[in-house]
Amino acid sequence: MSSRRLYAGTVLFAALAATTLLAADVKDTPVPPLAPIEKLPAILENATPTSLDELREIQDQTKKVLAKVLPSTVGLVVGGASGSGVIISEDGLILTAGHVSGKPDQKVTIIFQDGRRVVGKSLGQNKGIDSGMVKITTEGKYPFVAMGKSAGLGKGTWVITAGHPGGYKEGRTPVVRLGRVLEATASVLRTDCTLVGGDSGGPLFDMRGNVIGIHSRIGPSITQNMHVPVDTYRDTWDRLVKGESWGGGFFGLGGGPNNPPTPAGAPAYLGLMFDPNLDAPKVTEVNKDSPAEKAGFLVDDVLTKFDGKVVKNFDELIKHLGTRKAGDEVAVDILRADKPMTLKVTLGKRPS
Amino acid sequence: MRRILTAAGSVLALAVPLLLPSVGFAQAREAFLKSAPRILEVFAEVVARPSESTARVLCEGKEVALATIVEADGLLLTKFSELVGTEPVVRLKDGKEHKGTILGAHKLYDLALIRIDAKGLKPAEWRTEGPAPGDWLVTPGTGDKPLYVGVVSVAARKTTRFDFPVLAIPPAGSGYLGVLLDEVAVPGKVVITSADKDTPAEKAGVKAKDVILTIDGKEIKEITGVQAIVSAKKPGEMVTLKIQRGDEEKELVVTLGKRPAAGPGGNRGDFQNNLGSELSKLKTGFPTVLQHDTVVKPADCGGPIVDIDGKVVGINIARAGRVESYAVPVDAILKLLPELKEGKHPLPK
Repeated sequence: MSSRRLYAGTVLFAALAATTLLAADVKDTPVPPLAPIEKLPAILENATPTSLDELREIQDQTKKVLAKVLPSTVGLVVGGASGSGVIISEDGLILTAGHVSGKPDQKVTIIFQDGRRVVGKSLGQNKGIDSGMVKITTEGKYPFVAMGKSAGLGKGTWVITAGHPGGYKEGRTPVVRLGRVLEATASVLRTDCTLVGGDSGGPLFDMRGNVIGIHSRIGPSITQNMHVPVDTYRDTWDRLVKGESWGGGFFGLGGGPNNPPTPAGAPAYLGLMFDPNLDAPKVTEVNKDSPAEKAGFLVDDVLTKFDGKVVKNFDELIKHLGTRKAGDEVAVDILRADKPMTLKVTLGKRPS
Repeated sequence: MRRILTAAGSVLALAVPLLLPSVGFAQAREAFLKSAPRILEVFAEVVARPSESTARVLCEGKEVALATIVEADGLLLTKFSELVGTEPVVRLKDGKEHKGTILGAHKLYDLALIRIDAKGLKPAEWRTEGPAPGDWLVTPGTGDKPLYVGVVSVAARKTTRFDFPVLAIPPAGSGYLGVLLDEVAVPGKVVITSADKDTPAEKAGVKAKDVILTIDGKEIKEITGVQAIVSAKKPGEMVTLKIQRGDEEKELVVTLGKRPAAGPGGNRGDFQNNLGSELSKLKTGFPTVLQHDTVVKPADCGGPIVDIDGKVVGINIARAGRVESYAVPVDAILKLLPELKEGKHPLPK
């Protein structure tokens, strides 16, 4: 008798469990656990090679990583936009750029390196940092890579970029680039892996083959290639899988209490170059005929306050500069040979 | 955020922060570049031999290209379109300068064969097996250190029409549909991604997501097919579009409009490609390419590119975009070299 009751209880439990599984939705996907970060030899982390042997080590590891990760590197087409993405779960969750996936719940075409196409839909997007997610809806098991860790990435870290610059092209495998991390903050990674339109949303890998960044945008210089750090996908996981769209303006330069809005009107221009190897904004060049030159800035000046706000580093300076427009007069506090001074600069218009 | 429109009318999603305040980076001081001087030094032994197969080409006193020695008794290959006039000067690694005679030029690969009066030269040591993505690629100059390093981005491949899209700079005053097109999502088909209000296409009833089947009876497989028909017509002329919408097929007659002056069809994909590095004037049309991520200057094309063992895997032929440079793969060079020697590719008059 008791065994029959047990049996009935078990069947009921199984039936309930089955129903729950059917109801499970991408919205409830938990963030994948952070896998232990395997230790690598220094030359595969961020050491600068000093021998041919070390160069060969880098080459060998790069090719090992590529064999592992290229099958998960995909082209994406959303609306009329072509971008890239990387699959991070067996059932087809894809990390991409916020401006590629766009509004949630749009139809997405996913293209593998052999040309095979499946369909999916866009999930959430964080417009402030430019992160986005897509989910493949065609049934299947997909090759995927692990998310690594972007916090604490050192300058010089060897990285591999893959993507579909110019959009996916039949017969062209994902385009590979090797480079090094030049700068890393909580909101952006900069590397010398060159990027161009179509690469957006594609993966930046470390030498373990873990995704540590997602391609986002470029600047005028060949070394201004910016990627979204992967940790932010982990930190905002629930909002992304639930299909939320949030975040301010132009990559953090507008909207929200921490992101003052970008004003209408011509963007502000100072005309200074800064030492990329320092945190403090120390001037290395003053552009000829620029507002900064007219205001009396000199090489080696260290900026301490912009517009009354403390600027401890380059990111903070950019943030506050982005709230002003051409024509604004701004007070800038500096240290010149350890002597504090204040310069008044009339911000100009960015030369074309 | 910007949606960047390519000439072909489809949008490439990579935002260029032109609104970034111009607080710049002094990149000359970037110590951690993959191609920093201290790393180039480590590659010096790789280029010891191949730099002897490299030469500098000057035209009218200006350095216009590098060249690759292909035979010991004075035959070299270089990038044809960079040559000016008919009397290039070739400067070898030892500093000696020789007058060159252009014997012929392969039009598609843009390679010219040059003869100089010199013997006992060190020809390129070819590697016939192609290198793979991730392999180091080193560009020797005529000095002791390499000029550049990079890696293979895509293994040698036959190029297709998608690699070199026709730049849609249609003839001035030509016909205009007013749609954005995509040819990637559905292979072999062109999909209309938007038909803005008041455009000629929208007025005729064209809607976003319509798939173009035929135009004026001609089957349409790619965007260049649309461009070919539309830009050959004038504003006011009509085209018949057969489209598929869901399950239905429809025929729509569009009266072409006039291409607006500063239209969105301008090739901003091209704009991004030009950011940060100079591109070669002639950078398309090569039947096969070995694509790599080295930032080569256009005036340094025409010389060999080697693997980490110093074996030549190609001749740099173009800086083609922000992320890509092309080399002519060795197997193509070994095929066209005898043709050039036999006079099968005479110079155009």
